[in-house]
Amino acid sequence: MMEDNFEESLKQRLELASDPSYEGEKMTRSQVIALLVVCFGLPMVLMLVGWWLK
Amino acid sequence: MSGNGQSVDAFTAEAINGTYPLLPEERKWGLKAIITIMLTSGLASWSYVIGGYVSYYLNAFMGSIAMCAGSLVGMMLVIFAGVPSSVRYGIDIITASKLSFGTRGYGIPLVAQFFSIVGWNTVLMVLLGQAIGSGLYMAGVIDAEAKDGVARIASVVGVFLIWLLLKNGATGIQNASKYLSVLIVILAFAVFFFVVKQYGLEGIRTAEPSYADPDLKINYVLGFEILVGSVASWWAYIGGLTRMTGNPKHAMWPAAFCLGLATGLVSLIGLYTALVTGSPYPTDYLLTLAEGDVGFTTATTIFAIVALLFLILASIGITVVGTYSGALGLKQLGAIKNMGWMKTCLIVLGPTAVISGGFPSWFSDNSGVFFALLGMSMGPLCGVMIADYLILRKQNINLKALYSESRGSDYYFFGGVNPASIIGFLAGIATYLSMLNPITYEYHLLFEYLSATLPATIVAGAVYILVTKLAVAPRGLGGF
Repeated sequence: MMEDNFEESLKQRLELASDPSYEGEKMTRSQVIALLVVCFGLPMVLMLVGWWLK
Repeated sequence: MSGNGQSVDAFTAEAINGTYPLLPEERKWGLKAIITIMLTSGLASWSYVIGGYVSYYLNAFMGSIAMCAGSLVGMMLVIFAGVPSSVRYGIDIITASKLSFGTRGYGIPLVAQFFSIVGWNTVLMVLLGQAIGSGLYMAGVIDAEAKDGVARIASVVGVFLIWLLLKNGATGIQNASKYLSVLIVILAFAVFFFVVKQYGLEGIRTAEPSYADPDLKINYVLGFEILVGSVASWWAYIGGLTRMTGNPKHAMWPAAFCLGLATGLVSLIGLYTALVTGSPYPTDYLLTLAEGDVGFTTATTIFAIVALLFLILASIGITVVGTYSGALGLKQLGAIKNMGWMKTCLIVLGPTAVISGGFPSWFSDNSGVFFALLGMSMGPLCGVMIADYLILRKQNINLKALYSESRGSDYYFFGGVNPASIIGFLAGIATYLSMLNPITYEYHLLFEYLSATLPATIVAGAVYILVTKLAVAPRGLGGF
């Protein structure tokens, strides 16, 4: 039954997920910089241009 | 069986299971799937309310810029806080918060998530009640005096209906939400068309905000701040979406544009419409648009009733999904773990029923306070999590320890709570309060140059790093 195996299935899931080969990718330094440029640099420039054009 | 030997119902099992890491075969969402899901989530009807609120402070041009900028910055905080860990390990945001708050201290982020979801649910249910009240009024079923009472009853009935819908989970509604977001886009374009037709582009451009501060700079930063804070509340939802992929690129850009910027863009319709009609509430401005200069005509009445119907359907769909997420989050708490699914959903929906049925006007009039409180809590949460996972742990964690509450576990810290995160979180809140009063919107110090959520995030992260390096890591705690 699902309920009887519930704890066991969670343990198995954790065991499998802890395998390093199952890990996804790290966020790279270039991705961090790109996100900073697009989501922080660009909006700040936009705010300044908006203020200048007001 | 659950941890204490009691059996669990199917949804409780699903909820607990949902907090465990996803396996690679379950993380198959490609870029196209992520974009679709995020776009359908980002196009929510609460955006109209956000835009309507900004119309108090800014005109169309300045508002458009501040809102687009604010939505991107708010989303950046959420992405840095939630995407890297969820993508790498397949975990949700609440589980990820145990890394910094501890295996028991994560109750703080959980409470923040709960209040964020309850708040947005209430925004939507008040909207639903108003939409039904206005629709019946326009159809000639009730008179103007009865509108408020009918709206309150409709809100409570709406909450009850949502509770019943959750009996079978949220999968069906989640699948339907993609169609509901199409309704939101159609509604946005239709409303914009009517506004332009009635007031002209020049009318929108020259419309003045109703409660603007004499200092334009303050209004500009307030508009930016409202969007940063409200978009930062995507924190509560992000991990559940981005853990479906193992590639950061497939998560971060769709999140930035389809969740963050999309919220900002739909909010613009709320801004423009509220500016020209003078009301920040979508139901009110739909009435104003339908009435026009010549009173209600058959065509405008039909348009408004169909638009209100869209609003009602979209509000129900998003509230079901939000309540489902909130109930899943609550299921992680020891005291609620073994509670039945429907009772847990009732805990999430109860406050919404009370507020939307009892004090809807009070809540609508103070929606700005809600937006500010979101920024005040979500900013510091993001700051602590970014500092912990990206800076201190360099994206490496002990996954098994995240699910262990034993004393020797890496994330047990002091009795299951990490004081560094509490101090960092409080320092962030203090910073926010030193910039902006979330209740009165009184500003202090450097608010006009720094805003409030952004410095609160930075201070929370910096204090977290400092306390961790001075008091936590030297004791061998936290697995740093």
